[in-house]
Amino acid sequence: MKVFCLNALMQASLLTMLSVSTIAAEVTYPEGWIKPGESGTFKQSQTHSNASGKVKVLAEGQLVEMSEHPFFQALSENGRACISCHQPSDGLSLSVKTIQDVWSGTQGRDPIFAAWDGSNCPDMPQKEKASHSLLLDRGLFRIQMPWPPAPRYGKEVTPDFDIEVVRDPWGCNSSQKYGPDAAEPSISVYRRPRPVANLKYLTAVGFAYDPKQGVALPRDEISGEFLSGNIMSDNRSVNLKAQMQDASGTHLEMLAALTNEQVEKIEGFILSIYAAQVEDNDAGKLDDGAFGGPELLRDSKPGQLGSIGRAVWSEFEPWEEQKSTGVTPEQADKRASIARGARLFREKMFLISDSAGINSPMGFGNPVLNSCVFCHNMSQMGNDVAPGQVDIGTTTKPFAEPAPELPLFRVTCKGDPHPHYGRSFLTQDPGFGLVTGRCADTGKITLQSMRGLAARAPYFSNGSAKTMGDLVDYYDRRYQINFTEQERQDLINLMNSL
Amino acid sequence: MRKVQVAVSGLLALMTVSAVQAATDIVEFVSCPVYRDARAGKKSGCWLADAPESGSRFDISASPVKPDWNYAVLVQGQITDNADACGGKVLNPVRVSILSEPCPQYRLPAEGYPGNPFVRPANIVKPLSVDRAPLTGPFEDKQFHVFFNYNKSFLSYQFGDYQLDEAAYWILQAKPSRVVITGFADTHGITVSGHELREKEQIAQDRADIIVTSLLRLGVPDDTVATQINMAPELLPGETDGVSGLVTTSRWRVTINAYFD
Repeated sequence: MKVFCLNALMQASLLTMLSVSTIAAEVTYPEGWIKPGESGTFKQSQTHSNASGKVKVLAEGQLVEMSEHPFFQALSENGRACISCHQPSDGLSLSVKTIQDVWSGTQGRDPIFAAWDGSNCPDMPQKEKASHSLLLDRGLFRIQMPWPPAPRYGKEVTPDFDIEVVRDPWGCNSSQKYGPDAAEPSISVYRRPRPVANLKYLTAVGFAYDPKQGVALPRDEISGEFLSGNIMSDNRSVNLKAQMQDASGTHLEMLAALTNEQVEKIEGFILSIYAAQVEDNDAGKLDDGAFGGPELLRDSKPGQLGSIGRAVWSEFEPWEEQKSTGVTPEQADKRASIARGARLFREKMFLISDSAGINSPMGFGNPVLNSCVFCHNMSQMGNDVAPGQVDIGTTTKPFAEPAPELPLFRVTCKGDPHPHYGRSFLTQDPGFGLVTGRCADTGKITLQSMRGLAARAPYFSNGSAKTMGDLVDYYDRRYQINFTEQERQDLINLMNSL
Repeated sequence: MRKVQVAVSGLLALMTVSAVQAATDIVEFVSCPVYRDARAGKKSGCWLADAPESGSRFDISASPVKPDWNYAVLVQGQITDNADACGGKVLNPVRVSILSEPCPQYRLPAEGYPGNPFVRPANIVKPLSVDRAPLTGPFEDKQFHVFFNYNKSFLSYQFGDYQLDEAAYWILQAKPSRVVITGFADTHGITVSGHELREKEQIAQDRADIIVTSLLRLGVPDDTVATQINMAPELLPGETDGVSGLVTTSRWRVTINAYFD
């Protein structure tokens, strides 16, 4: 554990939570934690332990002096920096375990618990742990979306659905200050922070068309390049620069926009970061005879379809025919399991049904027989080569878990009904629909990054899968795959090794 | 006056297509799709549909757009003597349009049918990483068509996107001075299996907008593009690229005319 003097850590907004006289206790942080404003250079190669093994983070290019770099600087009064929620030890995201450790070590006074989005709602009593339950239990930050949606690609968005608040456990969707009836109408949803690593894969473009929207890909207004559509859980920001401005204005609560110089520096830095699990507690080094770890990610060309290039997770193919020399039987068994998991990921066929972005509207059919790589199709990374907005039901009824701690909205389509949910349905997070205003997009969430997963549980955008086993089980139930216990474990072992 | 002319031309066209279809073993019907859970690898499941007029079961799996088992489908296809891998007479070429009428989900087991192993379509959009051979002139006025499903403005994957991409690539290379995009809607419609199928007027504009948006994003200069809509699409010859003999489907289209004025 790192120990810091709280006086040196606290920022202005935190002082509103505590009287100065109480700021005397030492605070502790988990091993590897980098706090805003920390001095020293960001290590160009670092490994951090997690429950499954170790994650490795590579930083390309020039050494970065953290205290002088805007990614690491607290640029606003709430004391946060980008690094606050994108920690190398957590694969450049934040695990719930880390969040809980930070709460314990700082008595809830670290800037990640800022009232704006680090609590269930800003007007709740901030000193109380219960006010931060969604962050502490599920790793969720509050995302306040404008309603109706903000203009997109320079055009006004007129939603083709109505949204009604059915359940509002924290008051952030039904008060005079927050919610669709507030002076500035909004919808608050709660989501996991996405990892800021391996980003060249998320900005890569394989084809000029968006098959899920049936139109050519939009272009970046400044660079003129095609936009991948794979930034953020709902693609509300279409490129990294826009994402940074969105994050600085919300998570950092900056009153002014980031300067161009700050944007350039942050963009350069985050595009230089690669993260992947590099060691498994049982299998040993994931690049020992196989190609796990971040080096192949760093050195490969992004945007390649696994079906016509290097097969997805073929990194572990060499372990299919394990040479047992130099490894223990336990190591050999675990390596074989990881390799089987990789092949299952590609080859275990199941019927995918009633999932917008897959079964509609592209014409694959509903249902369609395919495997995990149907969507997780990009070599080395497992995200979608096409814009990856898909609804597998994690946030929308009847597929979503009950989750009474999350808000619930009734969506009513004004035009055509939703292709799978009908005219009216319930959702905890309308996802992409809050951005496009299209009923057919409601419930769609951009596919997750799949590297460094072991460092950043829980999973899915709403943190509904606490463990990798929960994640596999969700798919098993949702699509009635009927994994054997061995298959389930092989997939868990694979994904913990990515 | 113009509306009258449109209606007449639509009716004449309808009569023409009926004659064409009767002569070439083309069937056209509306029914609920049936999914047969054949397992011969990815996308190998079978899609079947029974023609209500005859009770005959057809294999409609070859359609570029597959059915949704929750909705009725409009099927237009040519009967073949291809081997039965699914439990129905094979239609190929075949086009399926998903209608709004609900259907009960129905899944059959494989029952010994092998299904259709996936074969990548020949005409699909190339990845951006693949270099394309430059086109050589001289170029002259040219017409392209992009086909849609009935009452839809969605650019179908590995079908409409390819047709548009071919047009866009030619336009970007040939650099015509004017590109006129005509969005069609068959508002007169057809009657199939007792269903009166008329497209919404708005579909014509929506189709044109999708093509214009796409062409501009692909790099076609804004100041060369003009649009218009037409509610009385004439049938195209069966041999037209993308029609494959299913002439009724040719009404659901956008036509792109490139001019060197």
